[in-house]
Amino acid sequence: MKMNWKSTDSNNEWLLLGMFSNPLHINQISNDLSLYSNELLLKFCKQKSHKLHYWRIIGAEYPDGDDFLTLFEQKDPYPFEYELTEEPNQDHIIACSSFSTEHNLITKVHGYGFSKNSKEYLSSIVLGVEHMYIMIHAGSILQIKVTEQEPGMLTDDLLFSSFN
Amino acid sequence: MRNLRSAATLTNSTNRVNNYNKSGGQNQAWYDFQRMPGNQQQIGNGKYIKAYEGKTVTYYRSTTANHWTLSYPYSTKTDKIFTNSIKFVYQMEVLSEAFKRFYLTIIQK
Repeated sequence: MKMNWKSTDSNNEWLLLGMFSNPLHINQISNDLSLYSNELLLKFCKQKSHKLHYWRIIGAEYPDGDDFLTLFEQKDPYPFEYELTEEPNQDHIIACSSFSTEHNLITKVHGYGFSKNSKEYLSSIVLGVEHMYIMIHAGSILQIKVTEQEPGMLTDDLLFSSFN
Repeated sequence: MRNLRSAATLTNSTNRVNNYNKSGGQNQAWYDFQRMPGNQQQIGNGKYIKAYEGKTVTYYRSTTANHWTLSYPYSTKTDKIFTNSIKFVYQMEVLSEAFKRFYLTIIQK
């Protein structure tokens, strides 16, 4: 199953159930939160079907020093340990630190990045989750900003965008 | 960070990063990191951060440059200071030369 965020309306009815990492550091700056992670796991589910889906995100560095995100779509919470709950709505109980929001309906997903040698590289992902925004920035350590303020256009190219 | 930049040599820039080189190896990078303000937090795998006034400095080993590195946001870009061990290698070469001379002196005697 592919989430296929690049197509329009693909985020329709997707919920963000949480962000997972080990360790996950959280700092408050004014009204915003900054989260730091070496390897981040995002847990999604489809509102109607309860089908689970994960993004595993790690940072990487291009030889010229540019940082980019490597994103893996997967069906289980690898690399973190987890337990399975009972059917019918089987869930993964993930054994690591997590961050979740009260409202979790995804309203938009933007991917920013750059091109090198005819290849596209993601440098930031912006998730709109009802009244807030979650921005995941590439780096040797991933920095995730959680804010109520709508972010402006980032300096990198908009690689994909979808709205609910 | 301004002091660090002035003690380093700019090697190349992209639209997103400025890359600098500095000698001294891991000890120098760690010393520079320790002088930064903010609470130290370990993120794992020898990676550390310090957050201060909304900015974050990161200490890590660059996988591409294979050097201990400090990265720090600067304007809309990121400064990366790769701390290599040139000074140490140079010192070893000097020592090696001194040892050669000492050895030759003994043999000649």
